[in-house]
Order: sequence, then structure tokens, then C-alpha cells
Amino acid sequence: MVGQNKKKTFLKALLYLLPSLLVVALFVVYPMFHTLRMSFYEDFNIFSKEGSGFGLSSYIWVLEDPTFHKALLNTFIYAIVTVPVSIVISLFIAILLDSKIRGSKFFQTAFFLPYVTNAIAIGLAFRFIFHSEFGIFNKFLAVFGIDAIQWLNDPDWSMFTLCIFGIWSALAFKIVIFLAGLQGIDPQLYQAARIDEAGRWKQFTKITLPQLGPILAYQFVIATIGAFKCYEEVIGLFGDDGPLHSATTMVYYMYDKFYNANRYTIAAASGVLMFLIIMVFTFIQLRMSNRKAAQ
Amino acid sequence: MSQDNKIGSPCLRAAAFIFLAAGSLIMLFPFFWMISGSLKTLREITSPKIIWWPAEMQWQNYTTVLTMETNPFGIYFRNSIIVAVINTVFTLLTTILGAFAFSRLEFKGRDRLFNLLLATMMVPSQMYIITNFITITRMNLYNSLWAQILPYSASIFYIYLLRQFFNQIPDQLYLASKVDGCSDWKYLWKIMVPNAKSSLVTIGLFNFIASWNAYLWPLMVTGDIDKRVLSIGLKYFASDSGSDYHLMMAGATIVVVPLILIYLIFQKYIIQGIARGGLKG
Amino acid sequence: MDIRLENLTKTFSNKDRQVETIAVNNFSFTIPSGHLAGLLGPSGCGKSTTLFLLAGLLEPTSGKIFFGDEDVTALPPEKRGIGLVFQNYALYPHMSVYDNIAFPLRNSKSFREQHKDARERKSEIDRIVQETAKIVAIEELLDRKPAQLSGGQQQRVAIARAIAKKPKVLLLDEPLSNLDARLRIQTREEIRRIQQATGITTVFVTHDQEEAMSITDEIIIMKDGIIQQIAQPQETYIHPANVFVAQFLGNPPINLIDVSICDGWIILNDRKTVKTKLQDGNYKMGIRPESFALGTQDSEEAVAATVVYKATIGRDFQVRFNINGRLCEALIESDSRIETGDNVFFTMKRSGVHLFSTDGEREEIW
Repeated sequence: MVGQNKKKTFLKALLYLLPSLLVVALFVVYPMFHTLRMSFYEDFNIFSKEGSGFGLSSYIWVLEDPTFHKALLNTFIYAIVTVPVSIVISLFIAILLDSKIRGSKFFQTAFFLPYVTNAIAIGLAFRFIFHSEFGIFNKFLAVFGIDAIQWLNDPDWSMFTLCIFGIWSALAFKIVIFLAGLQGIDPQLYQAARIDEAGRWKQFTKITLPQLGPILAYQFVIATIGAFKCYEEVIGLFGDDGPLHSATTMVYYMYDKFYNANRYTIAAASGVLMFLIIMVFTFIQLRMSNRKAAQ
Repeated sequence: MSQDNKIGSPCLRAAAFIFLAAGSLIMLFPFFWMISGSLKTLREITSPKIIWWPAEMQWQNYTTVLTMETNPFGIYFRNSIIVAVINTVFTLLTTILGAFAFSRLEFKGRDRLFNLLLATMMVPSQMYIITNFITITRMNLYNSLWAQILPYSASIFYIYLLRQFFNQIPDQLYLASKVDGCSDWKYLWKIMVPNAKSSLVTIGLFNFIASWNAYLWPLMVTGDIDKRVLSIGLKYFASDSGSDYHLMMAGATIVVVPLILIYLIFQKYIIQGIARGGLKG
Repeated sequence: MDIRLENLTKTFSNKDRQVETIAVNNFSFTIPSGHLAGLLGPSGCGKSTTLFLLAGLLEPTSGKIFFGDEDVTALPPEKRGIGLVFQNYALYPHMSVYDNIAFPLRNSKSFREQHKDARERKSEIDRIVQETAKIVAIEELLDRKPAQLSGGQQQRVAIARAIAKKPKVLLLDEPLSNLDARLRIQTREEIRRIQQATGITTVFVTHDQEEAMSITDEIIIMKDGIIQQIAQPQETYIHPANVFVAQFLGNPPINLIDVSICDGWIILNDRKTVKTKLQDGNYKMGIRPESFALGTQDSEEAVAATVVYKATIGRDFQVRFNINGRLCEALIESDSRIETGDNVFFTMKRSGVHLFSTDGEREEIW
């Protein structure tokens, strides 16, 4: 355009970008590198910003810590259980919601509601429901003659209860995405399939699933990343990391090392490890879904 | 799409209806049980029998919770509102300006810078809060509401979303505004922002909800009771109050009800937002 | 206000491939004050680029643009005193028709200086909006949003917005291309009427020859960034400056035949047909389909041919035959008796016969 010089436009753009760049540089970009740097020290003074013992000692410490093993194992269990289960259930519900059944508008509202709710508050409600003594779930089971189960206080049950809560919370978001995906499928595909006398199951496996392919892959990646970051659900449900640390997770471990134990370099190292694990998993999942798409 | 393309036989449709109804009950039950519990007496809540709804609604549970000395939910609520509102206003401002620069202004290295910023989204936020805690402490902002507002007052993701929308506004509109004597600044606020209203509402809502629900970061940077927001206050209250579940449920309800209201009022925007951007709060 | 271009050139460089395209190549011409000029050419010929250069939305690589005596080359768009109507109208979707038309006035600094008092300014804007709306006949639409209007109505609003601030120059970029056929004819006459009513010097970009022919005072025909001919519409048809112009104008297109001149005669199908003053040699000859008529062996300037195809199109016969090995088409009045396979003689109207050198430039036959 006439009357614009490049230098001026550059300066102007810089002004527009200044607020967001300042925040992002200070609170996103800088900490990425700083946390990485911290993780390579054995000890780090957060006030003088000086570290001692440069090397991998913090990583070795974390990798040898049994609590970290437990956190890692729990996080994996949580991801392996909640991700597929919630995806299957939400896909099923989305298909039902998409079939224009009477009242589906109300059902949609009901199924989407948990998306907006606070994990701590609803965790408390679940804590109340699963209370061993006066929780309604045990009272309900008692009707069938089942003895009270220590859902929250028994280390053997705590991960189970956490997974139930996790699945419940994860459904809403996935249903919305699936529903949008289903509504994007060209109805002519189904009409053509009916003309070709494809049954309902065949329509599902030959049209719905392949058409939802990219969305399924997206859901798997997003849900796995989300599951690896599981933390607030734990706090909401147990108030801490469960009986005998039985429901501790990677993020909980990191927070605990940083805030309660003041082991800054350990926390940083575990944070970097968590990032690496998430990267590797995302990469593997994307590779797998790409290969499938290629076939 | 005609109905007969979907689940066909009346039998199947009835089964689907029943399944959905049962599912909705499971989804809604925790909310119902929370609200019902918040209106019960201590005796009712610890009763061995199942009491679906209190004999007499105990509204004073709420006044108790709101005015408690150890865990004043009134103050928590106020803090949550302040943090969420200011944070959302800041985020919208930085997002509008940033998205405009990345979508409309032409400067050297624009796309490279933008891609670089997008790449930072790969890193989980949990990794940088460690350093952010140090930064906030050194800025003397520990134990303040600003500590909770500032680090989240710009978001690459929202800039990305709004830029997508801005890019859809035809170039000709910009050129027309130039001919009509409109500056870039005026074009942004008079033409682009009004046209992006629904995107901005969605971004604002998501940011508000995310801010309202934030837990780990506010927990790290607040020490005193009068700086706590609801999520934190509720957590502390839950560990302090033993088995006063009726009061805990009242506290939880106070946290959740504004969210439910927002959801019911803005359902359309929220659902569209998730569906379009794959937003995760 | 006349518009004068002096050696105007615009090149675009493709960063990746280091290729330079010359969109506008050394243009110099003048559009007299109050005229409606059409920039005509196939897509990609640089006509929109020329318009955007006039508007100041693009910066020329070299050359100058004058509005009257003022050199506007370095002026930004808003200071040039132009109105611009875009192909897609580019109406502000969230504003009412009224606000769309008022927008340029509200932005104008000079308007604000002329009407310092806010209330007086408001009533002046209102007066201008009403008056402009009347000119383009949209008075009853002022409260609507653009999305509630038909294509033709949006088009009028776009024109109203462009002329509300009384521009010295009005620029229209393919303003009719988004309208259906009937509306297009109606609207182009409307544009002509508005242009004449306001007397604004207007430049109109189009790829549709009929549009350009029907309403403009002069046509600037372009191809690949180079001006082919500037003339009154009828002149370009009757005296095309080169083969491109001859081929581009006219529907069905002109017949183009390789011919040779022997002893001052143009030879068609081995017969001396037209006497010319031109030197002997090879040429290209263009004959418009409607310039043929049935003749006899004795007719002057008649070409002998065998009819290979005949169809009836409305009041004409569409007839095809070979001349010098090239299939030609003619439109003959349907009262003639003619059948496929007939050996006939076609006479040619002088006004429809053009001769070009082998490199495409016009040569005068007589």
C-alpha cells in the first residue's frame, strides 16, 4: 500500500505484539529453558539463581526414587484405563445423541455439563458419594448384600475409584468432539450404503469409523496428554495423593517435590521427564494413526 | 437428514432412549447429590439410610460457609471473580492485538515467529510453573491476586484461534476501509472486533472458566486466606472440616453453580468453541 | 478531474522462485475528466492491478499517476479522494446500510474540519447519506444489514458508499461479475446513469467485452500487462489495432485466415477477391462472421466456398466453410436459400474485413 514504509509497519506490529510477547516470553519461553537448566543441577538456589553440581544427578535421583516409579506406574494405569474406556463410551453416546432420539436436546445438555465443572468441587462430591460409611454408593451396594468397600481409604481400591472419576470427567469433551465429527459426515454416504444393503454394523465399521479416523486419532492424542497431566482429580477425590500415596501421579510428584520438599532440581528433572514421556507418546500415536491412514 | 437414516426400529429407539436417560442420570447425579447434600443437616448427611432430599432445606449451611472465619467463602468468591474477570479482560486484549498483528500486519519474519510460538504449546504448562513460581517471588508478587492473573494474561492458543477467524475476514474489507480513511487501529476495533464477536465471546468464556477452575498455580502462589480463590479455599476447607460433608457440599456448590449458569446461558458458544477449536479448558 | 498515467509500471517478484512478473508495463494514457473508461482484458492481464495502483492500494514500481495536475503517486489511498467499488462489494457486514454509507464521511478528517460542530456534522452526514441513497435508489433499505440485501442491492450500496464523500475519481473493480445475467444488464445501465448524473471520472474494470462496449466512453484493452488499444468502444471493434483486439472483441469471434497478396490482390481459395494497396506478401486476415453475405459469381470481392455445416440460430443461419484451409463461420440472414454441400459465393462487407501483418499489427487495406 502507498504510504506505508516497512520499518514503520514493523514497529507498529511490534507494538501490537508487545503485550502478548512480554507475557509469553516471561512466563512461557523463559521458564522452559530455565526449568531445563535447573534440572541439570544437583542443588539450585532460587534466590541467587545459582546451582551446584552440574550433571545428571537429579535425573538419576528421580529415576531411582520408588515414589517416582509409583507415580509413573499410576499415571500409566490411569492413561491406559481412562483413555480407551472414555473414548469408547463417548463415541457410543455421541452416536446415540446423533440419532435424533426424542429428548436428545436435553440429553446433550446433561452429557456436556461436566465439561465446565471444577475438578476439586466435583471431586468432593465424588468423595461424598464413595464415602465408605455414609456414601450413597456403598448404601446402594448394600441393597444387593455387598459389604461396604473402602473406595477411598483402601490403597488397593484408590486407583480404581480415581479411574471412575477420571472417566466421568473426560466424557463430556469427547462427546462434543465426536458429535461434531458425526454431524460432519455426508449423509449421502449412508444412503449409498443402504442402497448397497450394508447393515448397521457394516455402516458403522465401513463408514462411521473411517470417516471419524482423524478425529479418533486427535482424541487419543489429546486424551493421553490430558491423562498424563492428571492431578486435580487426585486432589479433589482424596485431598492428597491417596492412602499410603497409592494414587500419586507424575504431576503430583513434581508439585510435592517442589512445594513441600523444596527439592527444586528434582522437581525440574521430573517435569522435563514428563515432557519427554508425553512427546514420545504423542509421536508414537501420531505415527500409528498416520500409518493407518496410509493404509 | 431424514430420521430413517438413523436408528430405525422402534425397539432400538426405545433402548437408545433408555440408555441415554440412564447415562444422563449418571452424569447429573453428582451435581444433584452435591446440591441435595448441601441442604441437609449433619444428622441427615451421616444417616445410614438414603435420604434423597432433606426434610427441611438448610439454607443456613450456605451462610455458615460464606462467613466462616477459617475459610471465608465470601472472600474466596470475591477473589475468584476478580481474578477471572481481570484475567479474561487482559487475555482478550492481548489476544485481539496479537491475532491482528499476526493476521493483518505484514512484517518481516511474521510467520516464522508465529510458528515458533505455536511450537511452545507442545510443552506442558506444569513444566514451567516451577520457574514461574521463582519469577513471581522475585517480582515480589507472591501471595497476591496479580500473581494469579499475570502469567495467564496471554495465550498462544487463543491468539491462534482468533487469527484463524481474522484470516477469514476478506482482504477487500481491509482495503475498502483504507480507501474510506480508516487507520489500522480503527479497522481493528470498528470492523474486525465487531465481526469476531462470537469468537471473542467463546474465547472469553473459555478463559473465564479456565481461570475459575485453575488450581495448581493459585495454590503455589497464595499463602494467606484473604488471597485464596475458591478452588484453593475449597481444598483447604475439605481438609480442615473432617466429616462436615453438608458444609463441604455447600462450598462445592458455591464453586460449581456459577459454572453451571454460564454453561446453561452460553451453551451454544461453548459447544461450538469445543467443536471448532478442540478447546481444552 | 482527468486521470493521467505516465510510464506506470508494476512488477511482482516471487520470493521463492526469483521470477518477476510485469503486471503493468509502462502505461501512459489520459482519461479525460467526466469520462467513463473501461479497462478490458482477459483475467491476469493486469487490469485490476492498474485499478489498485490508481487507488493507492498498490505501490507502483515506477512511473507516475496524476489526478488533474496533482501528482498522487505518493499519496495513501485515503488522501487520493477516490471511491472504490470492489468485486464482492466489501460492505461492512455488522453495519447497517446507513452506517456503511456514512463510514467514509465519519472517518474523513477534512469533513470533520469543514463541519466542526458535532451536531451540524451529524445532520450533514444524514443529508448526504439520504441524498446518495436517492441517487442509487436504495432509500428504503437504509436500516438493513448487508446480508439482508440481494446482490444488486448490495452493489448499489457499495456504489453509494464510494460516492458519498464526493470522490474526484470513482473506481469499479468487476462490479457486475457477481450478478446474474439479467441484473447485470440492468445494473450496468444504472452505473452509467449514476456516473452521468454525478459527472465523476470513472474507471471500470471488466473482462466482459459487452459490458465495456455498452457503457464506456473509451476502452483500454490490455493483455499481459501491455496496452493493446485505447479508443472509443465502437472504434476498437471497427478498427482493431492488432490481432489480439480483433479476436478478443466480437461474439462469435472473428475468423482469422492466413492469406497472401499477389499483384495487389488478396487471394482467397485460389481466387483474387479484394484489391488492396498493400505490398505483396503473407498476411493474416480477419473477417467478422456477420460481415459475410450471399453473393453470386459476378459479385465484387466474393469468395467461393463449399458449405460444410448449417444450423439455424434465431433469425440467422450459422454457416461453416473453408477458406484457405481454415474453417470459417458466418452468420447469414435466414431468408437466403443455402444448404450443406452447396458451392456458393460469399461477399464481405468492407467494415468487417481487417488485415494484419504476420506479427499481428493492423495494416490498412485500402
